[in-house]
Amino acid sequence: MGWKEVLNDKIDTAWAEEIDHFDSQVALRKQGKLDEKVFAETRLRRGVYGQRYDNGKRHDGFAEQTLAFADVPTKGPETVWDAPGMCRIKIPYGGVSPEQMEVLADCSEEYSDAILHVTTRQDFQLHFVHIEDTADLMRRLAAVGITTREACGNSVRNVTGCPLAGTCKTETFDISPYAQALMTFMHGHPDVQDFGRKFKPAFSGCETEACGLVQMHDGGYVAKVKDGQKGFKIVVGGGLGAVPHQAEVLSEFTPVEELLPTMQAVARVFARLGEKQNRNRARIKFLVAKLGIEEFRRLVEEERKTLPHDDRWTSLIEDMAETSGEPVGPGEALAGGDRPEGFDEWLSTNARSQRQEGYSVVTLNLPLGDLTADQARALADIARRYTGDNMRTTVEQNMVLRFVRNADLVAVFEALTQAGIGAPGGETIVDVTSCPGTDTCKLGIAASRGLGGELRQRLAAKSASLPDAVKALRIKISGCFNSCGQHHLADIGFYGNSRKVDGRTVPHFQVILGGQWTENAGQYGMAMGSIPSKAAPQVVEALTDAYAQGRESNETFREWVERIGKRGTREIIKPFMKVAPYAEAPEFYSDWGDVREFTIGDLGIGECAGEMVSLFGIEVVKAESQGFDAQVALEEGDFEEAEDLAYRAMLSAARALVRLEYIDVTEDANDIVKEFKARFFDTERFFDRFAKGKFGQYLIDRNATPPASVDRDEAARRIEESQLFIEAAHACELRESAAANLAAAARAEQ
Amino acid sequence: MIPKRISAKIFTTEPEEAVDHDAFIALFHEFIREKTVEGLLLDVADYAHVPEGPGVMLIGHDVDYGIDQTAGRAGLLAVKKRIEGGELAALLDETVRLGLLAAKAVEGNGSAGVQFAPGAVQVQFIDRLAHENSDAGFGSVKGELEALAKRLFGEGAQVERADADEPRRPLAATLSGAGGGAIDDLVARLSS
Ligand code: HEM
Ligand code: SF4
Repeated sequence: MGWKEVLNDKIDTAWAEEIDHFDSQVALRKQGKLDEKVFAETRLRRGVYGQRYDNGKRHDGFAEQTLAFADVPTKGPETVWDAPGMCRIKIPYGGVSPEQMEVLADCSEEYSDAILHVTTRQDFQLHFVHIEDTADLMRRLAAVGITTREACGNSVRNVTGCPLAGTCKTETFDISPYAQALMTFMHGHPDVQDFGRKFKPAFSGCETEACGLVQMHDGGYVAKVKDGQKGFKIVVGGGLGAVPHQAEVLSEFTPVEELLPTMQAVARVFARLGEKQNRNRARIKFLVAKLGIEEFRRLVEEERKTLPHDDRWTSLIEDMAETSGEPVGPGEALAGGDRPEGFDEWLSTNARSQRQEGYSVVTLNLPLGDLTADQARALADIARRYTGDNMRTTVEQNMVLRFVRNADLVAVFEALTQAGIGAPGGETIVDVTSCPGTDTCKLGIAASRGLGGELRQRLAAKSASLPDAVKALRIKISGCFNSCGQHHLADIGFYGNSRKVDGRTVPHFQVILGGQWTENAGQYGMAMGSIPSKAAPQVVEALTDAYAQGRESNETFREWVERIGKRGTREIIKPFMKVAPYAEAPEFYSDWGDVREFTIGDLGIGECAGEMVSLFGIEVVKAESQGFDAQVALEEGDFEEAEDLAYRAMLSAARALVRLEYIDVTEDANDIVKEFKARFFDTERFFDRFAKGKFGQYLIDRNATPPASVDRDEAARRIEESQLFIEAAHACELRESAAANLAAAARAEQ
Repeated sequence: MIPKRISAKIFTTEPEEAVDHDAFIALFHEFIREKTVEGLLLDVADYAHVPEGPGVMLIGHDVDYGIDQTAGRAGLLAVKKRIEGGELAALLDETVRLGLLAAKAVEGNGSAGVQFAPGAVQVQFIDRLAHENSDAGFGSVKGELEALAKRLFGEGAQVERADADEPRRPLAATLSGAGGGAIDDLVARLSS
């Protein structure tokens, strides 16, 4: 008897059928009876992702090795069947019950590596899962009301929401029931099956705090009350990724009964008009930017009028309980008594008093979002004993316990500490957020988790001596420009890239400073330059020292960054930007937590040492300094100049590439773009495996249609584009020179 | 029933002492490169930041290894995965053998600075459907475990059920005895 038979009557019938269907598709694909692309799409829609090295290749630091997997059909293009992958488990607004925690713990032990990983969108992920185990994994989760459906793919992703909802002092009302209603309504809805790209929704109880992060979401909902009626301010078209956008206001107030139909109308407009061919332009942010918010709003309003009535628009909202669970007893103050060692420090950072007198929300500062199966079970026990409410995951890769009676705080601290999850420093500089990066992500360029772990360890060791203003800062790290670690929202953010030095590839991080954590992430940080990965801890130290010393009265980190300007921050970072030659400092040539010599994207093309500084290397410096000047101009409020400089930076980088093979190209913009397009874009030599031609298109578009007028947003966007273009030019040159080296080596062998 | 996963853990001689995680990261990368231990080896997973967690893991296709620190006791853990069938006795032998050989490889390399105490092996049946952590569940494997313990450690070997008070954890037992000897001696007594 298998899990299917055991759990048969515990799973919602529709869910059970879907999982059985998936199970048979796994079997069909294994027999080669289902197309690999069709199967890949199916599994992605069910949250079953690929993972690094699943093309069967891995660089071991010396050479690329082929992993000796059995020769069975693939799971998708270039994805080996037997290679383990990742499963993303959707947790609406982060709410998880003790029983669900226990099942998650069991599954992590039986199908993964006994680690549960909390993501920046309040989901859980399991890594190293084999495809044959995924259906049973889904069944066991489904039996306790958890789904992985649409955790990936071009669909409505997990609905996120403030983890404090229902307890928070600043909220207008508890958003949880509405988040649940939207989740239930959108799950598998026919109107969300034809998106060109994913759609990420988020709820927030207020405008002032960060927790809901609605400003960076495709769809955001902020609780509002108007004339005694509950409703939401709705924003659309936000997003991070390569070109970050702030969401725009679709409606200042939509009554709760109109929430679901409005979202359905948005979904229909997005499905109908959103870009389908070019993945890189397919998020709703591009549609909103293209149409303008007024036109987008008009289309949504028109669409709303044509929707056939659906009873669920109101029934789903009426049926929802306001809070999930009751506290275990009346709220009670923390008594005097003995306090265990470490309690006071923990209390100051990890407990927050609730709107309800006598209760607190307790944060678990999970290291890089990880907890073990044993810790998950201990947490389930603690939640049962001390809180009547559910636990929640948070976008900072933590968990919170809610409705803890203040009188129980000492006992909860002791129980958490006993389980190894009582670390202080929650939501402080120690509590670093990091995407999976090169550990498991196929797109990872640098080791975001390696750096995250290193920073956490170093900062925890000196946390007691850090000034309060420094302690309050946030660090967030992504392994590449895709921004899964939400680096734009941090005081100090990093994203991974690479540079060629001394004929080898060196892992780097772009430094992003001054992201705004309040007001739902109302402003993004600014790029300040790339530093070698191994210098990142020193850069953090230099920046925090300078901030602590140079800060005026209550200046926030962002205000300080703005005041000293890009020049000021560059002065601080500059001493760490240089990479010594390999012979002097080989440690720079491997990444954190990895002893292998670094390669990009694990493409496995070993780069020959001893290359001279190329013509490209000299010319691209010009592009970088123009990019820098563009930032300065932006800061000084000269938007047109900033936009123009950013464009010229792209032109310089393109010219550097063109000059590799056509030395006489002129400095005329149209000439450069023409040559670039013919030689590098149309031939797809500029394309990388994932972004394809995205970054090249930026230059071509800007050249074809210069902006009629330039505001701050337009200038900031062009600067982002130019940075990505320059990165892509570097990557292109790396690929080409590696290929040339290989060809030379092959010729030498003949 | 045959479990889908079985693990074997061999504790270090000083299980409460801190482990040098960086050394294990380097060592496991080397194991992958040199194919030092058995299995199709894929990657190194660093969980050094997790208190009492899996430490540093060497992830494989059909077996994972790790310097595990669960319950604050360090040991070499081998998890045999993707078991599709076979005799339980042979599978237990195989898992323990993988664990012992990996412990030996770690010791032999020396760079991680740990020694193992092969006088005891902890075994887990990581499959709740096939092996409930209950008296009945233990009863169904006790015979096999006793036979294995006897083969490894001779007469007087003991099988002690672990985690009986935590039925949510996988069914587990510790096999021990005075008559074991060195890792090589133990391995020689296992069917291969
Ligand atoms: C297989 C691994 C992954 C791939 C291929 C991937 C891909 C991407 C891409 C391409 C973007 C940019 C999307 C855009 O704005 O157009 C993105 C954004 C994002 N991803 Fe991932 N991602 C992966 C893993 C993850 C993981 C593990 C997490 C959670 C820890 C995550 C959370 C996010 C978040 C929060 C954003 C940015 C916010 C947003 O645009 O909504 N991703 N991802
Ligand atoms: S930011 Fe890049 S490296 Fe990190 S998870 Fe996202 S795609 Fe992967």
